Amino acid sequence: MAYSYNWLKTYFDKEIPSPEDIENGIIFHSFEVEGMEKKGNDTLFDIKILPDRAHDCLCHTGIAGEVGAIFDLPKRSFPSDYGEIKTEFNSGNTARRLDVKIDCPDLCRRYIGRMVENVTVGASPAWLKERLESIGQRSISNIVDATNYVLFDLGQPMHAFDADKVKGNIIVRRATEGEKMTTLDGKELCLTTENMVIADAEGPLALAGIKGGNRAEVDANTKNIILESANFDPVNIRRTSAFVGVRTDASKRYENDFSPEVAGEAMDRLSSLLFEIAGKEALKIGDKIDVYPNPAVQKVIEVKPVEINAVLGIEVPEAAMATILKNLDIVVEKNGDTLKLTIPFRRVDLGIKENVAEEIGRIYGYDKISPQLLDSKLEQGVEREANRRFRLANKIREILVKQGFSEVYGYTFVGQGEIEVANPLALDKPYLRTNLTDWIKDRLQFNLLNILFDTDPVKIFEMGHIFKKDGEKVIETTSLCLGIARRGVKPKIQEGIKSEMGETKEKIKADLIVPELSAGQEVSEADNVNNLSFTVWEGSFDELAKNAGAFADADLDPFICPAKEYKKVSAYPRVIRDVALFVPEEVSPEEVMSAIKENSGPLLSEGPVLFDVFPKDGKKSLAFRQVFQSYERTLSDDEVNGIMDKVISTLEAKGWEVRK
Amino acid sequence: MSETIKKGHLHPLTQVTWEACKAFKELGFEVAEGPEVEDEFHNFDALNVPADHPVRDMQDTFFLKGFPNVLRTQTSAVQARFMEENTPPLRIVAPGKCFRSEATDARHEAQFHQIECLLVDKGVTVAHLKGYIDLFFKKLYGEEVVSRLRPSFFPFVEPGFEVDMQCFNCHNTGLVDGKTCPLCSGTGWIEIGGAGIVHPNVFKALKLDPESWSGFAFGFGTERLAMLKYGVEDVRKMFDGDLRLINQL
Repeated sequence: MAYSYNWLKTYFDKEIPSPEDIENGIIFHSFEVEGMEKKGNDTLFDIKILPDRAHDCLCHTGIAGEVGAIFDLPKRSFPSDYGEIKTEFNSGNTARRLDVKIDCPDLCRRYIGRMVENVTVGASPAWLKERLESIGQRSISNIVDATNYVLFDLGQPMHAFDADKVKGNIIVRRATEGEKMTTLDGKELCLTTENMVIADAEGPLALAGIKGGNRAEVDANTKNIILESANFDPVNIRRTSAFVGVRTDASKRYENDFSPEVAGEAMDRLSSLLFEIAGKEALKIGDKIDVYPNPAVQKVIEVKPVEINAVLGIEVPEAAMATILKNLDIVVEKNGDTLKLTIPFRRVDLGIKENVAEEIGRIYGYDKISPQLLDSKLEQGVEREANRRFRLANKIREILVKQGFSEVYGYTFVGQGEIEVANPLALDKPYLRTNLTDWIKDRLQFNLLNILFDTDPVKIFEMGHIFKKDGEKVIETTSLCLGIARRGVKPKIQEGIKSEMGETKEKIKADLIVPELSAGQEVSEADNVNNLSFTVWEGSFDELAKNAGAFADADLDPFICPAKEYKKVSAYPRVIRDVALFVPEEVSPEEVMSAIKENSGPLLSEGPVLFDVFPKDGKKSLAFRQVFQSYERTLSDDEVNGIMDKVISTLEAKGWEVRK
Repeated sequence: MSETIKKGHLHPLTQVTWEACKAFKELGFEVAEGPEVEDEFHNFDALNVPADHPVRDMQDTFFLKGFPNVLRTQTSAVQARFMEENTPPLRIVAPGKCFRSEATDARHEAQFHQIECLLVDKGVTVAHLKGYIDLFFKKLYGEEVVSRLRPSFFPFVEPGFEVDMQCFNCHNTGLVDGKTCPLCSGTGWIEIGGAGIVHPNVFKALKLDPESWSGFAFGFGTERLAMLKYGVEDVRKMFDGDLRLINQL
């Protein structure tokens, strides 16, 4: 949510720290600050409030409380914008008396209604417009703006109905099955008895806690209004909001279960504000009609300072604790070595000792806690199965990497399967994979596009979970899948990769001391269309784990790459060029290689790789392959030919004979 | 050329997982695991995430059609399983795959991995949590690297923290060769994961006595650790099976 620095200032009589200091203070003692931005003579903070504090910090009062505690600054009892807060208005009662009834006390914890007559609907004063606009809210009219101001001041959603459009009294009740209403922004809703409405004799005026209806909307001609300050069951608001698909600033706050005590204070603040900006003495402000069947009880936590220190691992001085608690509006009564803490109503989140430890720790500063290790060494008992499986998985990885296989990780979500995700992210991939073979086959073909020589094999493997259905159960197993592919479809190529697969399986059997890799399926095919042969074996890792003997521990350290910046893969096609030449016997391939490299320019992406050597007539023939590729564009033949011409002429200038 | 066997390459996520688990093994931790299709009890309820509460919105969950299960949103579900089946003292490290229904971009994937640590013993404090996190970073990124805790919220811990690591690329200076460090955007710190002291409600849900036991947990994103280590700019490259990346590492 957005918070205004200038608005925060109104909660203090003293100067407050600079925006930069506030930002830092909030980050290290309260919340993540996602952004800070100067806006005119104000500074805006974008603070991320998580669900543990959404009940009291989605408003300026909450953040001002944090600032007061972090910087040990005394707060005012209300922001200076209000001038004064009146709890009584000696305006004589209103012509029309209001009555409020709660029909569903299980869903509505408190409802305060108040009749206000003779209002002057008009523009808001400049300061109020400025406050709301600073945090990105549009100014609408003095009445609506005042309710919004109280929302962003206290976190209490407020509503105003045009009293002359309300027929009879206010009833808070469950909707009837199929009951219809239209929201302020024109959305038609069809409700059920699971939803709660604010209604009059004729029907719904508002969807409780979520959105006002259009029937009793305040407009330019409004003379009399009914103010609402209420508190509703968070679960009901959450469900209804999801059911009708309407989420608002109000519903978000109700979902987060803030204290019904706030409603009373909010009504006083809103009434005082309206008195100032919508009529003054002409205004008739009626009695607060406060229906509050089960008033909230203030929580008390008993905790010893030593218990707080035992969570934090540090000795917080008692005086520091006392200051922190006082600044958090927690009343402390000392009773021997126990502190009896009376928690302010607003702090719904505080209920146990650990909560208090967090409050003390974060305000005192986590940086003051020194790292420490436990003295005790844990006795190693019999190894549990998961640990053994992890060692085994790494052993298999070690074997395969040594055999030239590289590891891939695939996606769990696929287009076909047995277990379907109810809310898939990609509609064409709603299933969980039932095998790894499909993906390995696909990746073999893909990686064959990038080999340097047609004779290079692609060898990959994956270990991962697969999911099948057995009646009413999801069967989740761990699978191991190996694949080898090569260009060409000749029987010799097929036999070659099949025998390589066979050798790899033998190696696994030998190293893991398993008698047979029985559970598994092997697919070997020649793909004439793509001119490739592949063989893929997939078997159960779980079965391997069951049958494996006392295998040696793997050491993967030799295969760990130190930190480095990897070379990005270009999205543009590569161009392959070979060069073959005769050189005198004493010229080394490295010498030729560096000559090629130096003259190939920045587009050389791979190579030169020496791929052929043979002697002839007292000289030797060398052949090199190199790859050219750009990160920005597709290279043309002409461009690459130009580079190669330069390379060749350099080689020829050295007296070497380039074969053409 | 192709006749000599070239060695293959481990996936970068395996490399980071190996290093992390090895470091923890030396600290007396053992590896634990759990299913990717998880029940709501282990993924949510046991972890102090009640139904119909906004804390469930912190993670966008995938549900299954026709089954009462979810795809686990966090490896913390393994914590719940392990505490349920074993008696403290406990020290586990749980690497694993998790799922969240988040729009995919260069920094977010619907599937990702976490490495989670849990220690349950007598008298475990925030100071211990700090000690083990520091030790972990030192083993992975070098002796001089330290961590920093910021207040945060995860329902299964109290107090809860966000963990930052001192940037190993610019050595906390924010500058590399006079320019803003690309790894930490010049802040000198890198956000690396969440942590906290095990919430008493978690112990209670798993039939352990919170008066007798205390513990800490922390979890790091495996992709993030790997992407930082190798300068990979897009998380989706972790799952495209392209050997042009994997065989460089």
